[in-house]
Amino acid sequence: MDHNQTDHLKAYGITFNALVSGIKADWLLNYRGGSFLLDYNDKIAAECRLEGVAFNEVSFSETAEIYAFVQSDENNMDVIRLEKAPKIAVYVPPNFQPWDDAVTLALEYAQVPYDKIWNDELLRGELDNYDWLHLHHEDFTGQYGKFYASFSNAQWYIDQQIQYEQNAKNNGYSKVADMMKDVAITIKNYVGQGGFLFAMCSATDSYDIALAAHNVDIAAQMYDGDAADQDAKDRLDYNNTLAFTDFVLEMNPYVYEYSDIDIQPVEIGNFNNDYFTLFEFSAKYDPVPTMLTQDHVSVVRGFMGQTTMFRRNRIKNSVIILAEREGTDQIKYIHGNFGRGTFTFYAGHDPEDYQHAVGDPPTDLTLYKNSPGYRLILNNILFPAATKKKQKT
Amino acid sequence: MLVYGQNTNQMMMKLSLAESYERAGDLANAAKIYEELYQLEPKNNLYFESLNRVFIALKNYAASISLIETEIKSRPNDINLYGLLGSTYYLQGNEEKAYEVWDKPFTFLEPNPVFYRVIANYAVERRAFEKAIDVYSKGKEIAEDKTIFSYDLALLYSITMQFEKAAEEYCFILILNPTQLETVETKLVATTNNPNAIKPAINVVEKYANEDNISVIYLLARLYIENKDFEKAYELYLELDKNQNKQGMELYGYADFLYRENEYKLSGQVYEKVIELYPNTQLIPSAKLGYAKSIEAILMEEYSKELPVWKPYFALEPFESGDVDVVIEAFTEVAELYNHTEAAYEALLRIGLLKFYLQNKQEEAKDYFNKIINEASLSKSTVYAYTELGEIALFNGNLIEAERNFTQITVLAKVSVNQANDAKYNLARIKLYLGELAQANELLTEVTKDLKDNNANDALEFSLILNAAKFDSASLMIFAEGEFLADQKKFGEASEKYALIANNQQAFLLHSLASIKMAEMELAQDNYTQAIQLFDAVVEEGEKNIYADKALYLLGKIYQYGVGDNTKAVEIYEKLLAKFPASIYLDEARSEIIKLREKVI
Repeated sequence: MDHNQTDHLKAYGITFNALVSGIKADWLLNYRGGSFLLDYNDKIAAECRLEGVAFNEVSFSETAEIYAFVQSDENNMDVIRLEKAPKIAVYVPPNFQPWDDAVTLALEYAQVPYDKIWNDELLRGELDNYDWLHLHHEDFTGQYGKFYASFSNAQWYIDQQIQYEQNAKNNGYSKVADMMKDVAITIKNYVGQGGFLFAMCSATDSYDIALAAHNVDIAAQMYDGDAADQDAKDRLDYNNTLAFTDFVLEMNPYVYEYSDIDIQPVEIGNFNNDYFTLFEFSAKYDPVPTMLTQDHVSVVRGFMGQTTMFRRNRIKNSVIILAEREGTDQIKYIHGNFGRGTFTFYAGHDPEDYQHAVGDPPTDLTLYKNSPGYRLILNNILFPAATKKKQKT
Repeated sequence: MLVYGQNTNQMMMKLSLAESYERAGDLANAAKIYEELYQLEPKNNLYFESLNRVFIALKNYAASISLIETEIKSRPNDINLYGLLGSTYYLQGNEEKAYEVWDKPFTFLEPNPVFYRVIANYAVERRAFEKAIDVYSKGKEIAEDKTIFSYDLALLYSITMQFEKAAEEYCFILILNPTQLETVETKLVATTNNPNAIKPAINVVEKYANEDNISVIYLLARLYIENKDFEKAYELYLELDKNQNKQGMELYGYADFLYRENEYKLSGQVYEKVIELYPNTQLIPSAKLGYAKSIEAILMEEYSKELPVWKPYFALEPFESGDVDVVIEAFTEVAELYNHTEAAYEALLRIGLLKFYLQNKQEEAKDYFNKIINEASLSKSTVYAYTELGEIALFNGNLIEAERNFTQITVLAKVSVNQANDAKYNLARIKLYLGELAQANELLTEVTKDLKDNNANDALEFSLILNAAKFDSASLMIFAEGEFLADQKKFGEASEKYALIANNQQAFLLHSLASIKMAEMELAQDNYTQAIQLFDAVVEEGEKNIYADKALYLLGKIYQYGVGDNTKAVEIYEKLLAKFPASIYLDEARSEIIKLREKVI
């Protein structure tokens, strides 16, 4: 899976679907950009050719050499056995959305099966049926993405607000914000019981803000009908969040920003210099962050979103930083544990569309088969398939 | 006066201070000052409204209720106060009380439509849409001008996804006031973005569409179009045209719309109807052109299905269809109607193309192309006329005539770079056939100057062949003879020429090319067994033949389309993927596998 790979993204799909059909796979961490090793069969080989995924056939003796090389103490590599394909759920409203979800695009392109779920299923406890949950451009604070100033007259915004209000009513809530808080808590419980949570863009910070605001009204009158609590900022409960702490809310309902967790576009400076760097972890001692950062490049082109990058001093100490913009306090990609599960937050909207605007057409991934940014997303779907190893320390 | 002035000044300062506190978010202090001011001057509405606003922001709903109730005691007929009080109860979560308060003024105030609008607005502001609908409905009952209430109701019904009721309101507006059609159409069509909205709306509008309500019929036609139910819309436009004596205007506009939507069959029918029903209208020339273009589009769709485009070469067979003459007749009529116009020359060009490609009547086709050239050297159809004359000359083996026509294109005043390069590429081929290799190379160099041009790739490949074979001019000339024969569709003779080169292992590039060309000639003659053997032989040469991947790809095509053995075709395509992972045919092979898999498995 180095630069010789012709389609990195579909390679994940081939491996995932092999797991679905009961075939075991080994993930050779840091070996040629992080490669997959599967027992040869004609069907998989034919699928690889059909999907345009490059592969090498290796003999038993060559395989043994590769294992020895990867497991040698001299190399920062390791072998992770992938046992069972995780069952994937993507949290998405049932109707039209005026933006696209990078994860859904990646899953569709790689032909990885997934289910769409929303508040009804989640509040009915159906999350227990899934191993992995993805959240994308969602607003868990009940402020409809804080699009009010720009889009309150747009048909999609009006329809979306009605849809959420009816959904809240059907689920027994008088306010959308209250329902979203319960949704956030349900997701947190799911993680605590061993679920894998992956969030991108505004689903990252808005999710943690909703957890922090579980006992306080932070939504202004145009969002939930009544005013926000005067002392909302002081009553946030940072102990309840997963990743962020000590953040300051943006209470102005006309400003398209939730808090100071996210950096501002002006802080990026020259867009041409917007690249982030993946940390290199010890494959043998830190296999999880190593899995999450497998890529054929270590420096990746940045991309914006409603939430573009996290401010370093707003991230809890217990959280692992996976990628940052070097020389700045801007963090792109983080991972942490909660209870028996884990969460991974990846800032930005679409790794191959620098500034994806509302209403823009979806990215055609056939043009980005080797996208390093999208590859990071797909690392996340295979990581729950890994067999847990005993820690070496 | 002096004392009063000081007091007023002080109160203004206090008001400013309270507003500053409010803006700074210090609502408690703002409330204190507003309350003080309100106590001093309870009839000042500004103090009352400010104090209530701050109470609401502080979520001190009890204080707000008490304040408004006090105010109601002094102004019991002020409808706004009931709106405000209901709002506070609603915010407090007491929906029942809110509704009761909002309903109360209607029990004792004189009926006034404005009052209903005021209260409904408060309900909308609180997003209590069902209550707002209830209030607007009651207001509509007593209002003289019901239209404005219907617009509000339609909007709320749409928001709450009660699409049938929304459509009922829009129909109500149209029946009352047909001039509202444009506004109603815009608003109703906007709601049909929701896929669940269109059918309920159609069901309702159908109920009201009759001869007495022309604007409702227009609305229904538009909804049919939105629902892609073009036939039903056609019936309506037919009726509208007739009933309003529009002399075909409605139908013609609809036919144009259908043509733009690629609904050629129906557009042809509608244009024809205009011609049939309104033979004296000024629209006739335009309708005839539209009709000719529509039936030509249908004919070309049929013709494309018949062509074996999966083969690199195939014979030109006359297309056995009576429709060709019908289309030619239609274009002839247009050419006569529009004589000496751009439309007439376009019609003549199309007739020529149909004569040449679909009827194989070359001499007749040439007459049409020559007419364009002789009459209109500046027409945009002239380039195409020269091109086709060049093609016909090549087809007949007349290189001098072909060269003359393609050369004319390069000196035309109105010719695009792409068209000129296309002509130069064809001239280069002619030069090869004439044995003038240096001139052929010069022309190809000119074409390859612009690598963005569509002809650049072909020109580069052609140059490669010329340069690779320049030291073996004897073989090159035999190859050129084969190419010239292939251009004339003399596939059997061409195959013999290619065989001479294919058997010469020393002629490296020409050998590879001639081997596959020989197979392609057999394929063109439907000699599948022979073609398979020849393509197999190319494949077996493996890396020695640079066209081995193409041979494998064409083998797959033969099994798929020629022999009809899809299993074998998939097997061949998969072999292509396995053996030639860098082939330019990979993507096509992949898509064919995916397409065939469902048929095979």
